[in-house]
Amino acid sequence: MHAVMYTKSSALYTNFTSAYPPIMDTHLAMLILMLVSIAAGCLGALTGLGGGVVIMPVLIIGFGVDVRYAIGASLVAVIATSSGSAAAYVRDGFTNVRLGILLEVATVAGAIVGALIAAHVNTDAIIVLFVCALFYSAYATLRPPASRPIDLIPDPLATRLKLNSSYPTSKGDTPYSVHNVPGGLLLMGGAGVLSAMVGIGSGIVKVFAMDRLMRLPFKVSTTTSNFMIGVTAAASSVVYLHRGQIEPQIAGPVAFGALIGALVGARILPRVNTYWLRRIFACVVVVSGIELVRRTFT
Amino acid sequence: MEVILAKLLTSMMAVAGTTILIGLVLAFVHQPQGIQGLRVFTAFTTFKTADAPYRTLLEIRDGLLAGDGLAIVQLGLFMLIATPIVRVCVSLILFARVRDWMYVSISALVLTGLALGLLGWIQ
Repeated sequence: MHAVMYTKSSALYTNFTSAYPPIMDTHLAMLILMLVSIAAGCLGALTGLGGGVVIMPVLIIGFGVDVRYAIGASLVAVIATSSGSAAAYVRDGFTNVRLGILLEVATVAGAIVGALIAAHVNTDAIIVLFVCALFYSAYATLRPPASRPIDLIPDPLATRLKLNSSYPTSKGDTPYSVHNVPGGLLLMGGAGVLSAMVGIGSGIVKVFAMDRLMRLPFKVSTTTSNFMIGVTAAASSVVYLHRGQIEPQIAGPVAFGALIGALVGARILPRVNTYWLRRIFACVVVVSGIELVRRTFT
Repeated sequence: MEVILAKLLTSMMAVAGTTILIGLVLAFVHQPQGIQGLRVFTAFTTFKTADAPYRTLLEIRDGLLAGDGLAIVQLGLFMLIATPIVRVCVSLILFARVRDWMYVSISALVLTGLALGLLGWIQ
């Protein structure tokens, strides 16, 4: 049955006619795609936003690729960047592995629901949702992290779930406690839906949930979010793989590039002033969002 | 536990990344007979499920046997997607080793969710 589908689809490519003239040679396009993805992976690691918010506009605006191919490629890139950097944070003891796995229950459920919904939603609506996520990401990167005293009053549910932990700081291992587990789970479900529908890691929503709602230290929130992103994206990627949205010619260069970029980014992070980088990046993100909306509705 | 998970993630990423690179290089330099090969990017302006060459492991296997570089790329992408799933399996085993049954069940719940996604894939 699969073999039949394969030959059928091969016939489709050869008969394919497009309204667009070929702009670039295929080899060149794939090389450029890889280079751009290296930059995206690097920027994603440096600004803490992940590569998804850069790769989606690049594919849609720069390469004229259908939104659904862009989502597939972006999700695989998100897995590559998050798993690559997650390893270092887990080893150094920043990541709260228990909390991550608990919240993954909600993000995975959300991601599968999101992937199923996305099949029945108009791509214009997906773009609008993506641009909203883009603008919020830009806003959230510029806003300084709220500083508040570490809260050590234990929450009964978090205690029963053994979520309270400690993390390394300049003053040695600092303990912290986790709050509002049900609220966190609910918001994580939403993050999963968003991630699957628009092809981003939605780390920004995850960090918001852990930082503001569950009142974890900022560094623990970002690293635990990063740890969870891979599983969330894998849940929807499996669905998209079957639907044919993960195209090797697009997702291959993008995933490889993003993986290399994330490694480079993590390596140079301590030596880079991210203050200006975040500002520049936020501007780029906003401009690309505006361009996406303009293209969709003209 | 943390050290094992970190090592697992880095080694799986390295294998997947290398596989993708090998596949890409192969698809660039050599296109065997009877394989569609690389498509121009304008073919991707409209999405069709039927256009996708490798949607299941069986199709990937067929492509590998035919010597298609893009099938190797897709295998690497599949490994990339499998990395976090394997990570959940390993954490389940690690929680079982320290007899933390609460977190064994939570990991199992995550795996069930991932399996549901796979179920749609198998159909």
